[in-house]
Amino acid sequence: MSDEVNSAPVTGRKNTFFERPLPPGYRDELRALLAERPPDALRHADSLLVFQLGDLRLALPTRVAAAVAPVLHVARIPHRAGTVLLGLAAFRGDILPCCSLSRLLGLPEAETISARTLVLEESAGRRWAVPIDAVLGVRLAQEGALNSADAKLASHWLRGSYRDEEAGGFDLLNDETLFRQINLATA
Amino acid sequence: MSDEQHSGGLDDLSLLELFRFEAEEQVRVLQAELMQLEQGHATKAALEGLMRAAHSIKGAARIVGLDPIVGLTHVMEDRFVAAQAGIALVSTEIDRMLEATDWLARLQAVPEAEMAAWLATHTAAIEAFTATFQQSLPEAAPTPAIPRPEATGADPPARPSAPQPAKQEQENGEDIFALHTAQEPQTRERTVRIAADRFDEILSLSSETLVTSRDLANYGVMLERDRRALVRLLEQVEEAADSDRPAALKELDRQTAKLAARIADLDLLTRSNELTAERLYRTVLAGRLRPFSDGITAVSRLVRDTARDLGKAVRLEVTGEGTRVDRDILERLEAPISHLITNAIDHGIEPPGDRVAAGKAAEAHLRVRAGHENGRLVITVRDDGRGVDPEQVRRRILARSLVTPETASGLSDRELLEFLFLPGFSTREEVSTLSGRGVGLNVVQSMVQEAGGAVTVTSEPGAGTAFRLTLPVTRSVLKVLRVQVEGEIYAVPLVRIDRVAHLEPAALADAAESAAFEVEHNGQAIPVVALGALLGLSDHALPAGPLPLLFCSGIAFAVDRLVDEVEMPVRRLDARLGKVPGVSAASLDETGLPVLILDMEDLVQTALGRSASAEEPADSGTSAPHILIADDSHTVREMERRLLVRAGYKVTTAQNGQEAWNLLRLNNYDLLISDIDMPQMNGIELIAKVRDNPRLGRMPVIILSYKERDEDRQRGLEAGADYYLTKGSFQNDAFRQAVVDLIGPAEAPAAEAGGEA
Repeated sequence: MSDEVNSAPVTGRKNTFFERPLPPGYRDELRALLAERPPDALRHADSLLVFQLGDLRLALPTRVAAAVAPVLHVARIPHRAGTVLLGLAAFRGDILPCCSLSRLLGLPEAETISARTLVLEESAGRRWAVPIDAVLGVRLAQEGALNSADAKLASHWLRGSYRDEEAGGFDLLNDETLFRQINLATA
Repeated sequence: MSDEQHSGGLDDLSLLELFRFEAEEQVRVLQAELMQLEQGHATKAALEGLMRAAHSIKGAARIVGLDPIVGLTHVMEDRFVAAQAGIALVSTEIDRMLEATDWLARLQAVPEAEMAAWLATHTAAIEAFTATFQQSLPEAAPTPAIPRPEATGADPPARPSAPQPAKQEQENGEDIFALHTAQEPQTRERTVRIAADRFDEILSLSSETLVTSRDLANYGVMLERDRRALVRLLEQVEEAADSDRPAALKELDRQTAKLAARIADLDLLTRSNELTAERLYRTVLAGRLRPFSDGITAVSRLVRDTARDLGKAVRLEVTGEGTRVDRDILERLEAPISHLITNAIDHGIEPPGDRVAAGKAAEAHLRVRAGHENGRLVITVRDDGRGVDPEQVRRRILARSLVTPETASGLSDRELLEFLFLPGFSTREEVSTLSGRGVGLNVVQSMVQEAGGAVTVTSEPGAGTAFRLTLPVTRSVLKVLRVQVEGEIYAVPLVRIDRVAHLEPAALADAAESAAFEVEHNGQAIPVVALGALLGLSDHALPAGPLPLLFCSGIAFAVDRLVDEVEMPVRRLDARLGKVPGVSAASLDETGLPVLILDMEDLVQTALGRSASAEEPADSGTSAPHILIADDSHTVREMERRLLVRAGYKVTTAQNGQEAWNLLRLNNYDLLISDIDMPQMNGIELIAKVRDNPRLGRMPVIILSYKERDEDRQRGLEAGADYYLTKGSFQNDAFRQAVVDLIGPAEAPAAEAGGEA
């Protein structure tokens, strides 16, 4: 931005900084700056959130994981008992549909104590609450590490599996399939 | 401060500012759609959008008396109508349209104080432009005379002329500096518009404050516990005789006293904090409601101007101005009401001479009334004009081949009037700048429907026409009774409850089923229904002994516990869930937990349906469920029909939404299966009509469409479909399964009925 704006003296109450005419080109410059999307430092395209769900260690891209919340109270929805839709949960003043990932993935329903709720963001403003057992951490997705030969889930749910020694391995869910199936199962 | 001062409500805005808001939005539509058009994407929807945008600006400009703009937008609208009729816009015409849009954008950026000067400078140019534009219009577009601009009665301008902002800025509808130029008058800066989302956010934040203040109260309890522990410690020290005892004792004593003082302080703090939080919460809640008069600020001016333009004498009477209306709804009311008023004066009300000849007062009486009825906001716009002639409507329906002559002759007056809401339907032969294009009523209907309401029309030939807009109050704040059912808290709207009582239901002696109970209420036997079972939460039998019962429309609903009576802000149920039986909305309680608000009308219907079907076993033989299919593709229709007939259902088909709607009104069907894209009336409109109809409202509906996008699915579910399937679902049996889910399997293959309607 132009220096002349900052260096001009403030001469009086009536002629304050904000009332002065704008230097040429200032608007265009500022508009261009504002139009530029700021880099999203926390959501790298290639970082993964790894979490525990029953016996499984699963992962999703962090860009779809909006937040991790403590266990939320879930209000049961009439006539939807036993379906993937567990009910409605309140999160930061929003009411979100809460879904059972275990039921969706067809996992045996071990009555695990869901310690956390993962808030997934399918698209801007379209969020889902999903109970999980624990957050295991954030990993960087490394190329070439994918291998879904011995995954515990059907292949259409997965983008692949990571089997590195130190992390103990995890399966990367296909978020597109996941959201599509959540939508189908709850509508 | 009062909530009025906080809210930046519509009463802070001048008419011109209201126009500006409207124009701002529509100019954006025009710009975006015209660019699309230029790139060769001239879809039906885009042209419809363009035509409506021009139409809306025209209406708004008329209200504020910007006559050159009325003329300009009228020509634009004409051209879009012609384009809809197939006369495609060529590139030079799109240029001209964009140029016209630039005029609108430029005007919208002019400060109010300088409007008169701006108009004085530019009216001639706009009119010249309009005239050239009009000359170049294709033959098919009607080109009525443009009204001459009248002198605007505004004060002489403070400044000689408005600044002419750079062109490139006006083309950008989102110029971030548009509101901050130094030349902006003061009035602009005093107004703060809060997005509805932001407002809701404030609401949830304030409820969080309430939660925090309650946490503080818990903290006080904790401190009190500590003090008691200290007291116990004190007693122990007293028992243990020692030389140090006096000093220790003294210290303990001092600590205890200090702690007690602290608790007292904390207690005061907590109380004031809780009060503040509660006040904040209530203020914000109240801020959602505005008086009805705020939504119709421009109406009296509109009536005056329209009546004068048309040479009619009209007296306006507004009642219920103080009716509190949810701001969301209020914002959507002005446009439909303005449409209805323009319509009434143009179509309904006769010229003074005709009125006198018909034995009426020369001055017509136009009444706008708002009020709450049965928990709904009801607005009526009633004129004492010539009314609508049902036979004229019938002739018009036939002339446009909307239905077969047999169907037309069977339509009742009320059904005939409903055709007035069809897109493009008008009883008027000639088109004026005011109305006659049939856009108006259809727009009114879609706007009211968007706000979650319905509009009906009644008319008495010779005596006048009345439009009745029924809107839900469920967008605002609801007084509810919270009840506990199977461990879950649900909210029941108080207006739906006739009475609450603790009574012991008596088992019916002659009931075949063991779970039939009833209670005596006002000398009547009322069936008792366990709410938990009705909501599908459990199938427990009613416990013995007196139970809390909610009496609603002849049914006693048994609950586990009555919790309390509170006011709750209402939120729409997430559209992703579709229509949940028995639930109308959701809310967050004061501790931030989600609570569902029950749809008692639905539950009463379900309960009645249950007992009715229990009493009358379905007549055997001819009881195959009857399904109505609406699809414009012959192939798809035939495929669905064969599949369902093979599965044992009775099937009737219709080729479009209008045909299906006519059939639905005449016959009883158990299920409607509809396509989305159909001529005359599309699937979304059809479903909206079904959901709005008291008799058909609960009917199960499946959408079967080629559209697979999420937005389409959402639109379908929002309109009220129970299932949204894509046409691929024939292959994977999802289609048949959905039918079975909704209406159960058919007993045995039945003969097909109806055929092509």
